[in-house]
Amino acid sequence: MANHHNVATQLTHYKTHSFAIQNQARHGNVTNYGGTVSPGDPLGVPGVLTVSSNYTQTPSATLEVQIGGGDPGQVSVLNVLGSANLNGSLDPELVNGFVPSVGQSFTILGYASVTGSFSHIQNQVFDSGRKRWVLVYQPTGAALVVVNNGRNDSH
Amino acid sequence: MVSIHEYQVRPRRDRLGVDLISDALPFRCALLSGKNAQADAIDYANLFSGSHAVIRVYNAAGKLIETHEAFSRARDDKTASCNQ
Repeated sequence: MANHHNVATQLTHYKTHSFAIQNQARHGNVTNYGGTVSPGDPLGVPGVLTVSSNYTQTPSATLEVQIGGGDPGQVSVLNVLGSANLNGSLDPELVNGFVPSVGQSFTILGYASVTGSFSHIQNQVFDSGRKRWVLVYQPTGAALVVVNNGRNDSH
Repeated sequence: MVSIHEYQVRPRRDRLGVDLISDALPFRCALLSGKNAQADAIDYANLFSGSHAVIRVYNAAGKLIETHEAFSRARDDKTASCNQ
């Protein structure tokens, strides 16, 4: 529990700033009360943040993920070994000039279980309005998938 | 031989969004949330299906309200891929 309080306090202090830890692990529960958690670094380099227990995100908080290519090392991932309790925003950030193609999928979140969901995806439409992100939650993780924006595929 | 994938889009009881259900999906079921969850689920099923897909949309009472039929087409410029 001590770890929980330490990390939670730290995140509270980052209410208007990014909380970026690249390629590191956090022990215990992590609660994002209203700040921005970014597994990558603030300059836009993708990274992996592993939470050893549960991750909770409140309605005013944001998870920011960097996507700079199709390879695993080019995508930020929040890896939650316990339960991901989701709310608030997801902010996918395209970096290094990368523009994904329709059909590409990027796993940005791993978890043992999940409750809730992000209520908002920031910058959901991109590439001059041609594409948009769809977030698909599966039993062990969530992936951002690129679909055409505004095209009616149905007959 | 053309395979036909069948998808079901059903609203969740917890109102988080919709479940997309199909044997064609890796875990058979996926959750899509947000105000456009139903449209997102249809777009995703269209994208994910390899050739020919039938997408049935149900309301909260379990009644079939829409059926979409989609055929494969060139997917923009690349086929679907995953980073995992």
